[in-house]
Amino acid sequence: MTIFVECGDTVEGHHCETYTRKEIFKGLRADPITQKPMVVYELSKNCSVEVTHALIFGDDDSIIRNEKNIHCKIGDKIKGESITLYVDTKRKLRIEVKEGLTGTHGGHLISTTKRTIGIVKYPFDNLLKLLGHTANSTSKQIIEK
Amino acid sequence: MIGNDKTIRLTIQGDNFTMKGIVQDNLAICTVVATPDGLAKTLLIDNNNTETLFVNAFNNRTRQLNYFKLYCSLLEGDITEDEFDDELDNKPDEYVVPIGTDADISIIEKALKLATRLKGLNSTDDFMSLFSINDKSMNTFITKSGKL
Repeated sequence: MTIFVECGDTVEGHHCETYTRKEIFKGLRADPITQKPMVVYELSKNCSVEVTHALIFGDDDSIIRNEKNIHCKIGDKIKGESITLYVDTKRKLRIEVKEGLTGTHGGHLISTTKRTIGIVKYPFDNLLKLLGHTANSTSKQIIEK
Repeated sequence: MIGNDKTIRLTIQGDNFTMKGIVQDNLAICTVVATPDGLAKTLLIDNNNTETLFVNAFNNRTRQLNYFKLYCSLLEGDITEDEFDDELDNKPDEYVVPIGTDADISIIEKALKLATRLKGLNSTDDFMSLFSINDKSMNTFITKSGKL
């Protein structure tokens, strides 16, 4: 199981398990990989998306995913302060609200059964310096681009 | 045309628009002869970008609105699920916000100026999807703005 936390890290799966404390429904948008219309949710306040059932790709599709560095294996997970979630459906998703999922908070759980894409929008605040997003970062990857 | 005294003389000719200018070290003199239409058309060339931004933003807002109206119709029972799906499949341009495209820094700057006067923009994602700007252009803008 690999966890990805950098801004722009993407996972894609046939079924995904999602945890969030807040979600905002944004309507229909073209997905960033295949431009297919998909329902979009903005997840925030500590969220994660994990692939539980992988998609099977042909050669061309695999090449596209490799070029865009998209993680598609079972167990691949993204975590962040805010995540953009695309689901291959045309209606709102069913969201299960559970209390006591962490030491202090409950959460909203979404289990998708259609093709799902998750993209980290904002990483966790305590990782910004490590990831090179601050002026005094030791890794200066963003500043040097 | 550069003269012997390093003076630049230029002539710009357009549709019913002629401008002649002399540029020296610290001085530039220009004369313009144009019909009102020619002058307006030439001066508005830069405003085509602003017009495009407005059109994109308005169309994307309309698409979002259309989708939510259609969804309300479904929830109220005015249309069936099959009719809902068919409408989205047959007319995607009416309901689906397209993926963002590359945008110059100047266009993003203009969009940012417009964004302060627009309602409903609560995040960079809202801003980018409204004006159809992709992540790559936005990241380039942020990086270059930090270096300026």
